[in-house]
Amino acid sequence: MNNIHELLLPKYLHSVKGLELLAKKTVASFLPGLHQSKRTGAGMEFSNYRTYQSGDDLRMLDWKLYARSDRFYIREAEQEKNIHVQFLIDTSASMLHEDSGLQKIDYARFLIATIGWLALQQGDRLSLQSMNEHQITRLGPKPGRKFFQRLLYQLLQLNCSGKFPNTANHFAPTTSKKEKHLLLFFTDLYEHHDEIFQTLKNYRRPQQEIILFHLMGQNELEMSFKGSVTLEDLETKQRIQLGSKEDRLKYKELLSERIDGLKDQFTTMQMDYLLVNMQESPGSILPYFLKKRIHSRN
Amino acid sequence: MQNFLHPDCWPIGWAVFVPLLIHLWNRKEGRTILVGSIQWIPEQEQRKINRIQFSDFWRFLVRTLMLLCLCLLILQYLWPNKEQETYSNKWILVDPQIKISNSLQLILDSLSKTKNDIRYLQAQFPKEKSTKSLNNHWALLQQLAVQNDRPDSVLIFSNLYQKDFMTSRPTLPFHIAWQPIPEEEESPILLKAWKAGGNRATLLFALPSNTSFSFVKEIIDLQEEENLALESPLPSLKIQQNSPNKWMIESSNQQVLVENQASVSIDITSISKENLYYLRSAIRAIQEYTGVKILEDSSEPDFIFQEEIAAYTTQYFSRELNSISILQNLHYQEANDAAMVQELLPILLDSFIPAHIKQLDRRIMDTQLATSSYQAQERLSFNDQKQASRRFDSILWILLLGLFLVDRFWIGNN
Repeated sequence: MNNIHELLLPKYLHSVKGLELLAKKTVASFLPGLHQSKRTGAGMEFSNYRTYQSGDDLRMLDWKLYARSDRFYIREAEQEKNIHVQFLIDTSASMLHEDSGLQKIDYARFLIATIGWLALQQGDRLSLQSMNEHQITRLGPKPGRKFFQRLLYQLLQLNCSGKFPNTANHFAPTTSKKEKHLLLFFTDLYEHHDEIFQTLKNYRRPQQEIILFHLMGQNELEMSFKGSVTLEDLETKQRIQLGSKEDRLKYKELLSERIDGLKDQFTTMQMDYLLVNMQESPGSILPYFLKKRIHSRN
Repeated sequence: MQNFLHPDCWPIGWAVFVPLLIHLWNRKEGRTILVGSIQWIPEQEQRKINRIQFSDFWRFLVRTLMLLCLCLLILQYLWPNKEQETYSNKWILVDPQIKISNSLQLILDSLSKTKNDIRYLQAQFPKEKSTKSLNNHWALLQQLAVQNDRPDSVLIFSNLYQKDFMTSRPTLPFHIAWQPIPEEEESPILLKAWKAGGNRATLLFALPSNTSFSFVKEIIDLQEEENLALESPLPSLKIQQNSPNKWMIESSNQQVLVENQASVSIDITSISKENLYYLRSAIRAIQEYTGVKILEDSSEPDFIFQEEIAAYTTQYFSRELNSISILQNLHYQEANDAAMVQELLPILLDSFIPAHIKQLDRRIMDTQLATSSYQAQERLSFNDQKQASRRFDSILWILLLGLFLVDRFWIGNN
């Protein structure tokens, strides 16, 4: 991909049309689930009106506008809406794994671009951070369409190499503790010394919600490589021969156990975990993800 | 039909054993695919992969079958001729005039154990030898042909010279095979004698056996009324001079006159031009070595030289003609094939046996009988066998091609 417009595919944008990227934790507490803000009334800067949806706080209903238009509108305050959406992307060499002609890094690009576009529509601030042992990039956070285009350009320039960085200090959070923060982490969770988990622990904040997109190829999940194949690790360059059906079955068992363990671990860490099968289009993953968040909020 | 225990078939065993070895020790890596990580394949599984293991069974099976087909094609495996397996009722007929030696008795005993009906070639075909005998064996076989319980295959143990098969061969409804038995093992027959210069004579003995004819030359000094004892297995001789120029040599009731000059006539008309030069050179050498004149005469030859079949095997000439056969690819076969004996016997004996010996009722089979319809039938069956093997070759080639396609396009992609 050479053009930022290639990241914003109409079919993906259309799939998320009408949906919102809701931040679950828009309040001071760090408890799971949606909590309403106690601060209402004067002092909160008006942002805009939006149509009433089932579950909205009735205290935010603008009755005067209802009297004039005979329709229900919610008065949105800027403080409630304005969140920082941070995209954290793993650019280690393992993200070059390919399935059905699409690499993990490209898949992540599509997801970030589409979610970023949705956040842009909502007026959220965006930032992008990529990391591998050779390079760490940070961009933002800033709102606005112009910055979004810069973000897309930066997304295209990302190169995958090496491993995930081992030193957690490099990844000091760039947001304030009070800022409402939605961190979307795109990775394949291939680590060597628990470095990814250490990084995520460093990013945990009271006002922050972390969602982890675990990108896996269908051929990785099923080990569906035909015939006698030799697998070469993209990061370590180790090679292994995979032949018999027993090896593949055993691998699938271990992988299943691993994924179950990850779900439990992230639940304990109060982070959202989503296993993304690259066999499915981003256009089907994102609506599912967003609707699930809306449902859980309601 | 190939016997798979025969060393010629050992390549078939290698065809299975060698691919098995290669398959077990195969370190072929196959396609290399870049993946995100192999860390979730546990270490013990990696060690297991490095050990010898039997995997990819179907590919191994297909490749073994391919090699097996190749071996069968190279060995020219012949599919068993069904005609040979249709003889269910077999008789063994023994000529009552032959002397049944211990070895022959063992053969007959083993044949009787295999449910073969052993009878004597006499009237009514008794199972025990009777005193009545009919000397015309063709007539006997004609009687057998009209019996209700006649066999469909007959093996005849007969006199070496087939002397009781008189008149022409009739058409018979069963398959006949011969096993000629010499009357006395290694009993030499004095065939010819001629002067070898001075008072010496050259004697030619024949040592017939059931597999071949051997000829032995001896040179003796002619002494008046002297008994000579020759080296075994040759018999003792009695030499008698009847007249100044005539000597009589007697051996085992055989008498041969010493001739002034011996000559042998040969028929080489069927020899190709390329080999004729070499053959004539060899004959000249033989003449000088033996002192016997060898004349080219196709009317009444002593020897008939053919390029497919040599006319004889002799110890007397064997050294020279063996050399010729080796140099010029003149094949000769030992007469261990019953059919071959029938073909060669009349040719050889008719030329070697002098007239006075013929009078001793050593009947010679008509040469025409050697090329009976039986021979044609056998050749036809052999042709059928060949055709069957060709058909089998076609099947093998098709199977080989199919297996190659399966290995290349189906198993390779799975």
